[in-house]
Amino acid sequence: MKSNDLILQTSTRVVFFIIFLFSIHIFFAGHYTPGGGFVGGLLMASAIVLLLLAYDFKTVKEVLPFNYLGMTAIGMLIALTTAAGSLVFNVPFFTHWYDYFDFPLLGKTSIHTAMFFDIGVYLVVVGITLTIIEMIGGDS
Amino acid sequence: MLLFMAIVLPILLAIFIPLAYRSMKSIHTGWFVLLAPVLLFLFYLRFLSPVQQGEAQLARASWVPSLDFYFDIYIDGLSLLFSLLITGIGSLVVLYSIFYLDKTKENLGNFYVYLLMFMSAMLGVVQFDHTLALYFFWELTSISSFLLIAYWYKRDASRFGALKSMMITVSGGLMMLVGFLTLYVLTGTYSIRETIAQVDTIVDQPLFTVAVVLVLLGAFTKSAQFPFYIWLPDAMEAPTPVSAYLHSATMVKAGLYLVARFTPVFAYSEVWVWLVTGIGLLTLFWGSLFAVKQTDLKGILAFSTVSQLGLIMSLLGLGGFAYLVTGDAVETFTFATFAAIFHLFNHATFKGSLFMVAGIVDHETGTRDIRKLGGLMSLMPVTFTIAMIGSLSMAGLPPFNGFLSKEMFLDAVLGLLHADISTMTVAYLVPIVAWVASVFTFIYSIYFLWYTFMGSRKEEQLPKVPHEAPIGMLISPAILGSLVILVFFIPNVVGDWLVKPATAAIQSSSFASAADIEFYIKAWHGWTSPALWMTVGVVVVGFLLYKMLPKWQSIYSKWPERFTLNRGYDTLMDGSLNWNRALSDRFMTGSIRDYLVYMFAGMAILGITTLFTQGGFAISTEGLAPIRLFEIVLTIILVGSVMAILITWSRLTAVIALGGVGYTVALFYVIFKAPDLALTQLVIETISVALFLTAFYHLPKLDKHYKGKEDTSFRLGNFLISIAVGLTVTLIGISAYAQRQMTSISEYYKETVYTEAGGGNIVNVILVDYRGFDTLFEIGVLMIASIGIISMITLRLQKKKKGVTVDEIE
Amino acid sequence: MKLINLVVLPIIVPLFIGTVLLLFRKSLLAQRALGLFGAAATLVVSLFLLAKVAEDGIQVVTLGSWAAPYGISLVSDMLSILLVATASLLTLLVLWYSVYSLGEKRELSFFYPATLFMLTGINGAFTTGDIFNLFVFFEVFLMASYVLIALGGERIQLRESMKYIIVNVVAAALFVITIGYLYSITGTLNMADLAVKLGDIGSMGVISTVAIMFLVVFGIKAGIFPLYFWLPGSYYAPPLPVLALFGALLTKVGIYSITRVYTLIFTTDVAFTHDMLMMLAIATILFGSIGALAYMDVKKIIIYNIVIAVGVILFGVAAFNEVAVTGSVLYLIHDMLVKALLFLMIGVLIFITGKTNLREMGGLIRHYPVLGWTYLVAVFALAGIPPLSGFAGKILILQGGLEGGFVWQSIVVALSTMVVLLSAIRIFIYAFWGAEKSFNSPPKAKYVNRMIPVVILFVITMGYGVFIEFLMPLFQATGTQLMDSSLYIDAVLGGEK
Repeated sequence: MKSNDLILQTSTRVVFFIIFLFSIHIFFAGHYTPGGGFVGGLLMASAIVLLLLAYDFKTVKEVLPFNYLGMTAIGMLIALTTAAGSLVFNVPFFTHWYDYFDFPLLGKTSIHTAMFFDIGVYLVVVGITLTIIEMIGGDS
Repeated sequence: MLLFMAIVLPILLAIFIPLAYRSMKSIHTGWFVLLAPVLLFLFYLRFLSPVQQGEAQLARASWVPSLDFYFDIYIDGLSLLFSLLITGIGSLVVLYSIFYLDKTKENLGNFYVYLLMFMSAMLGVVQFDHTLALYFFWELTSISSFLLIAYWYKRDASRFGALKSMMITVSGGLMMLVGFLTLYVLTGTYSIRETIAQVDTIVDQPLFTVAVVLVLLGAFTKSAQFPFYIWLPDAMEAPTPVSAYLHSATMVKAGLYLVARFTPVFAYSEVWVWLVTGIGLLTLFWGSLFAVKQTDLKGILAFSTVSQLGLIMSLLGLGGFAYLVTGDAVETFTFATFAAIFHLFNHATFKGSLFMVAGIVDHETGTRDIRKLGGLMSLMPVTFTIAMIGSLSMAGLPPFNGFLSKEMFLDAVLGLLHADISTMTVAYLVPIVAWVASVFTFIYSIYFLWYTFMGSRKEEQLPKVPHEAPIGMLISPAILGSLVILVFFIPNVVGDWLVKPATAAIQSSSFASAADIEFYIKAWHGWTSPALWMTVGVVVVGFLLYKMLPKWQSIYSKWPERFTLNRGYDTLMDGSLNWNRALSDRFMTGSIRDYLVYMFAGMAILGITTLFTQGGFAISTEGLAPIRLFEIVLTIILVGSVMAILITWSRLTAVIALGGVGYTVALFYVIFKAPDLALTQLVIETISVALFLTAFYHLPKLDKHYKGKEDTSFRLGNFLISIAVGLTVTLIGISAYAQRQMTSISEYYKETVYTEAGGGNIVNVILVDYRGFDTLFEIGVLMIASIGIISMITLRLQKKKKGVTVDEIE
Repeated sequence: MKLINLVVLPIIVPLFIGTVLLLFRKSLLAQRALGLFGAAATLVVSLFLLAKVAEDGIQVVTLGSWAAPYGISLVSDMLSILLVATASLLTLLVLWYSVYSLGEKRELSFFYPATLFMLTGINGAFTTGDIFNLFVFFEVFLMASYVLIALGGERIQLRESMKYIIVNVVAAALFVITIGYLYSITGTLNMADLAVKLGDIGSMGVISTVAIMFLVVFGIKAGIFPLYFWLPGSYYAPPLPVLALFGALLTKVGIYSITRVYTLIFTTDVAFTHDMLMMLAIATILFGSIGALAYMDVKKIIIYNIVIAVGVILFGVAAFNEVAVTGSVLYLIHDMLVKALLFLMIGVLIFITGKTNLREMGGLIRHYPVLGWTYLVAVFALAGIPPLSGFAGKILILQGGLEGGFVWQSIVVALSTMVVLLSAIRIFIYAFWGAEKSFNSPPKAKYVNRMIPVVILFVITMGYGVFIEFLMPLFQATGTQLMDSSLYIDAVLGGEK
């Protein structure tokens, strides 16, 4: 699939990064306001789909030159390891830990292990979207 | 424990048989095998005297104590008699087989392993007091019989004979098992003796009759009673030593053993006594009638065995009446049991010898077809002598043991007339049937003897040049033949040592021990004995009919083949394949549409009937918000989009409609104030629509290919089912909503989300914390899906053809 | 030290190793070694957990340190851990067999990770104490099974996997809807909590209806009448090791789920719900019998035998007394072992002959005596002939049925044994006996390789029958726990860990 729509391509360059940043925002906001790793990942995925529609699979691959399956797997491992951290402390599986810190610059911030879990979710969601795109694009 | 070791000794020996067979080719494996039955026979002989004095032998080995499963051994007179028969005849048969089976041509290892397995199994059946243990070894006899019949496994007849015997005996065994379990449910014990002890408490229960019938099914199938006997003639495909041993002397008597053993329990049931007597007599008559039709030597013997088993069965049934009557009649009926056991012993001797004779004839002439045989008397004088002894004993003539027990049988059936239960006129039929059957017994006995050994020789028809068998092969039948004569002269030795203890065990309510039994066997009862005149009648009529045999033997072929029991079995077996195939093809069409129709129909029927029959339907409008206009509009769009997907032929339209469904659902989330869900739903819809479109880019156009190929006409049935499914889901939903009983756990989440979970957004905290475990595996599902996609697209072991078409998926 | 997370391990060990395997897609050695290691490790932890449950009773962990019923509880009672251990064992043996039989292309196409993921889902479904989480685990093993059924992309596989997916998507939707009903009525998802609340509510029409809907949902997986129709065709398609896994494990998850909800949750209207289950169980036996007898195709024969066994096991559950339920569990484990064994055996048979139609086989006993005789013994085990593995379970099921007064139904169950025996022994009589036919017999070494895991499984299965006494305490504990739901409830809701 080849698209030569110049307007689409140009605007995509901008929009892609806007959506990307928004997805990061949504991701971090998730614990208190609507959002989270899953939606964040989906948004990122939609940005990539946009990229695909505007350009082609080759471009996507150039922009994001990873092993997508590996990305999915690593996301899974991050999520799993976060949950399994409780094994070390011998508390029930999936017990999260959080606390509040005063960082210079950021002010009072909470560190929550749920966030690491969410990173895993994010990576898996993006990874699988890219895998699908790769399979559809690569098969032609 | 020693007793238990005795039972399993043959099986243990069997483990070494293949080894011995392979390593010592020069010695016939049978010689090693012979050890087991001979040793055991001597071992069991020791118990004769204690058992006769009423000291039963007890032992116990455990298998699954948690299930109350023990190998409880209890040897009384009945068990001992059978054990001696099994080991005694077993010794003779093994000896015989050493000469019968060629050590260079046959796979003796297998043969003797099966045979030893059978020996253990049979000993277990007759010695265990525990019903489950009995069942265990009962099935083991069926299996070893299966393997022995199919010993020449390449022959079709062997394979099918084996299967037939197993199907019939194993299903009987299963019914017996259910019967045993029913007894267990009634009594709480698996022990037969304990069951006997508490028989008073169970006779009136409705399940008791169920147990009676089920246990009898086991006995009748095993002992080849009408109409289950059909497996026995086909079992003659087994090597002759096996026929002599399993299918005449021992295994087929397991059913008789079972009836005898359970008489103290079940004889209180009239169903039991009449069934046993009636089926026994019918089998006696039927078997003798059809024995005359046979042309195969072993075929005649098979039917004669069926008939004789029926005779003993009916005697055991008559014996059962002793439990139902009082006064003098008791003695008449206990005498029937006495006669049954005596005949059982006699039958083992004469029938065993006859089978061995048939084997010798087959071995030396190469055929068992009676039409090709004749005039062998002068060539095989010893064999002839043995055959004559056996046949005449079978016919019920003096001076052979068969005469004695046949007379006792006739006395017993006549006894039924004198007893006071003969309000039923059926009772008069009993002696008549018995007499007619005796006539035919006489005929086939003579038929067997004469056609083989007398008349003209037809050597040109024989595959081999006949001559007398080697001495080794003659030893066993000769021993049995001598017993036949010997017992006639000293019947009461057998009576006192073997028959009376066994009778005491069966008639335990009448006799405390063998010593209480005062029956005396004698050959001469004086001129006034009705049995004597019946015998005279049998001989006269039988002889006349025999002379006219060629004239009426053709009657048998008049009976339409279609109505025979064998044909019934064959039809059943073929039918099991063909009918079921036809039936199965009718609904297992391979079409997923059909399957979904069945499944949805089933679901809707189950759901709706339950909802309404159980009074589950309820509707409640309490606490519902009023329906607003744009909710109606959204619903219309939603339904419209779904319909569009169903009717469109364009992929593009379908995808857009699908997206429409998704976006509408997202709008509902917005209305119901679930921003997280709405956002997620919107993004997912966007991505999936985009990806669908990208994927379709690679596919051929739908309409060109498939329009017209598919039957899209309206089907009322499917329409109704789909309506029903929709209704089911909706109505249950409404009812469930209307009947809320408890407050939801979600309240807890609202309370703790900030204080305990350290978050502000409940939805996300549920996703990553309260129910993060779900999320972990949901992303797992995504990950698995991605490897599925990769493997589907990259791995095609078959060359890509046209791809899968819709037709195939349908 | 008290290892409170032991319950989680049989679920996350295969998940972890399966995921790691995705990072080594191209290495055959890594796939095989790690794949087998993953299954073996799962087996080890589940045996460890089994010992723990046997010693200390029901093990519970409520995840995230939340109190039940608010967090998700994982519960290892005896039934659960027995099934988990058996599933792990069978996965290990089937993977071993696959190393010799599957072919490198398939092996490199995610066979090992997909199998481990399936094990994750199955073990999770057996362990979870939360009805929604059960749904999630259903999705996990189903998704993995989609991968496995299509593995290789043969025509028949694509066709059948399509049907398989359609049916299961429908079932999944129905599952969620039904959970919705239940949640609407009770406001909870934790099974122990559900048991308490439904117990308080007592018998109620709408709850019976929901119980029947769950029967439908799980019945689709278990393959009961009238929902089994998809099963024979779909199971026929995948390669044999996959078929062995499906046959031994997947339907059993459905059976397990029915058993769980019909002993723990829906026990207030037994007269209706369990009688319905009884009727369907008997119908399942009958319809399974039709199929088992109808075909001369070795795979189909054994596949239909799955359906019969499902009916027999559920008959015991429906009889709903301790004896029958204990029997069902005994029989369930037996059936998992023996079905896997039989599938692997006919796999070897098909490998030797290159055929699946019995009429084209014959006389194999001469050259393949080990396969022949072990097959025959396995058939007797399947038919429940003592002292083999099916016996103890069948006895208890029948006895429990009779105690419950289900006389004719018990007779049907007993007679179904004849169908099982006839259909399975046909394979022996046609393939191993009879005149020898010639085949392009493969090299002996390949045959021997395949036979090693088969013989090991054979020995285990036989041991399960002959030495059942040593396991009986476990099964008696299972029966007690299933019939006395307060044990489960107290373990979950009682003391906090």
